[in-house]
Amino acid sequence: MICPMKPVATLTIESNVHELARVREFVAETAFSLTDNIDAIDDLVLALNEAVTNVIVHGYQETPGPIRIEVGKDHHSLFVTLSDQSPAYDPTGAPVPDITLPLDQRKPGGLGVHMMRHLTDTLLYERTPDGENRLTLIKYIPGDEK
Amino acid sequence: MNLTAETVQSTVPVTILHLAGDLDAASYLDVIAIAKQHIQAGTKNLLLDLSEMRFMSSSGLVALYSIVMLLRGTPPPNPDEGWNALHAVSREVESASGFERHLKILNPQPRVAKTLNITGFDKLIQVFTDRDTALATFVD
Repeated sequence: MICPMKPVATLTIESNVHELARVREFVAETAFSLTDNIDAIDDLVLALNEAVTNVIVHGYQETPGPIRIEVGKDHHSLFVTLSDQSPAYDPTGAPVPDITLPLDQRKPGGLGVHMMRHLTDTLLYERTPDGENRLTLIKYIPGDEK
Repeated sequence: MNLTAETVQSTVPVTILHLAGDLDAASYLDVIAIAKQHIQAGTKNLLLDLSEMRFMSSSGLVALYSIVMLLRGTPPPNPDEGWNALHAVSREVESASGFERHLKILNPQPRVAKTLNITGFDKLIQVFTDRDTALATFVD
């Protein structure tokens, strides 16, 4: 178990792009109850949106499947943990685009993963013994007093 | 997502698309479809008014890139091929050597502007805060 942090709220949805707005609203409202740092909340919401979209489109390939989202705060960090039962996929291991190479030698890199990395401070992934992908996105909120 | 359009006469005719709401994986195909309708009807210059767009994800970037391709007269990435479309966008942004001449963006809210910035899209598509200034940059 790589994420012992305790969530304060949980939302479970079916894999469907039309659920994305509800996920964003849930994470934003829960996070706002934990911190006043709006910039950090916006970054975390956008990063999570990319992660959930990846699960819906790549993981479940737009077929039904459960997705669980947990939100919490641990000391000076906000975190969101995303759990799903789609085939194993570790976005933290996706290649980083090397933009110094000539175009024809570059390997393609997804913008979604790039955005998740840019908008969070830490991404943690594990494949659980129960066959779940668990991805935790952590955003540091320095000086937060809430 | 709510979309409305108007065409104005500047130096050349420009279609302004007003995009209000959230642009994500649930709505980006609608934006591509509307832009395609206008381009097929003869629109050569598009200004995207994002002042009422609250949220844009990487799916929205695929929509922007698709509109760039449609205006160039080249096939856009096929969203049905999955998120490989994003890989084409990544390559395009990395190789951008100047702003698009026929697609501009007006007044993105701060968090939409941040999405454009962290992905390099603001190097591919010029962003304006004044409508008249934006319209005046369309010249052909």
